[in-house]
Amino acid sequence: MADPVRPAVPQTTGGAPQGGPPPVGVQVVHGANQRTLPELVGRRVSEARDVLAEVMNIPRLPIAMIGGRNVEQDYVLRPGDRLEFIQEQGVKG
Amino acid sequence: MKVKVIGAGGIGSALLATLPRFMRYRLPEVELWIIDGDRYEERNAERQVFDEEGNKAEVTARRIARDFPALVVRAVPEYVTDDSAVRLIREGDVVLAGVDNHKTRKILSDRVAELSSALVISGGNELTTGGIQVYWRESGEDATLPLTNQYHPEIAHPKDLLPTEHCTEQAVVAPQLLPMNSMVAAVMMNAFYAWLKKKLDYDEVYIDIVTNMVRSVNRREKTAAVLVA
Repeated sequence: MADPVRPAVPQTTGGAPQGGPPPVGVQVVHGANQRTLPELVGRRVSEARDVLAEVMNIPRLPIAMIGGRNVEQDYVLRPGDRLEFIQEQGVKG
Repeated sequence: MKVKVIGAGGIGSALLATLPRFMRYRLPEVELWIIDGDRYEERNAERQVFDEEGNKAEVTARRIARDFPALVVRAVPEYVTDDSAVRLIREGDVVLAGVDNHKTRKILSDRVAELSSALVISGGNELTTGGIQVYWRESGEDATLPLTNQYHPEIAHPKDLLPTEHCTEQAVVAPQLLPMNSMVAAVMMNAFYAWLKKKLDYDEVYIDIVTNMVRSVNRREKTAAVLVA
């Protein structure tokens, strides 16, 4: 698994579009659903999870990734970040 | 190529309601296998397609043989285990799995990894969310990530049991919904069609039947980008 991205490391793999207007929010993805929320800029991954846990059905301590890299729960979110909480595969069939 | 459906429960029976018709007219020379050691019982009637009680593979194969006599269909009334996977999953197979435990998913992934060319499309769901994973090997190389990839430790290190490792009474019966099973089956069919057309470019698909959202993801591309960086 890729090394976790820590808060002190400059984040260069986020979802900021090139050439367009500057990104204003953080895109959060879990399973099939995604939301972009400006108020998550400057908040930690764990806080984003807590804010969206119920509305996006996010479990406790999910794998969190930005730009294909694992991020720690205390990573501070930046404008343009695309934060994905990995949804586990459904068990039943 | 043979198409082997593993699990004829909620997802599998929904898949087998449409797959034989598709195969009869689009893949008439391809053999269809149905593999399941479980039995249809009255309590399955809310979500599963069957016209008599009995072994799921045998009951479903009889129905398909009646409806599509030109299609070659074979019933294998047993569960997939480490040992039987070697016998049941062979070079060039297409495996469509609607099983109810991660341990079997790992067995399927590990078995396909031993083959030069094979495809497994695995579906699974909870009550209102679910998805599919695709593991495709072609000419000795992975075209997509294995089911046991780093994003899915629950499959790489399963904590559940095979159906052969516990008695029916011990099995935890989690509630499921017919529209969820049907949606997973439809997305599996889509992936099979995309693969047949050589246009399959994702590793997994997420589904939410409440928000009615479906999202496909190419994890392999992202993983490669991180490795290069």
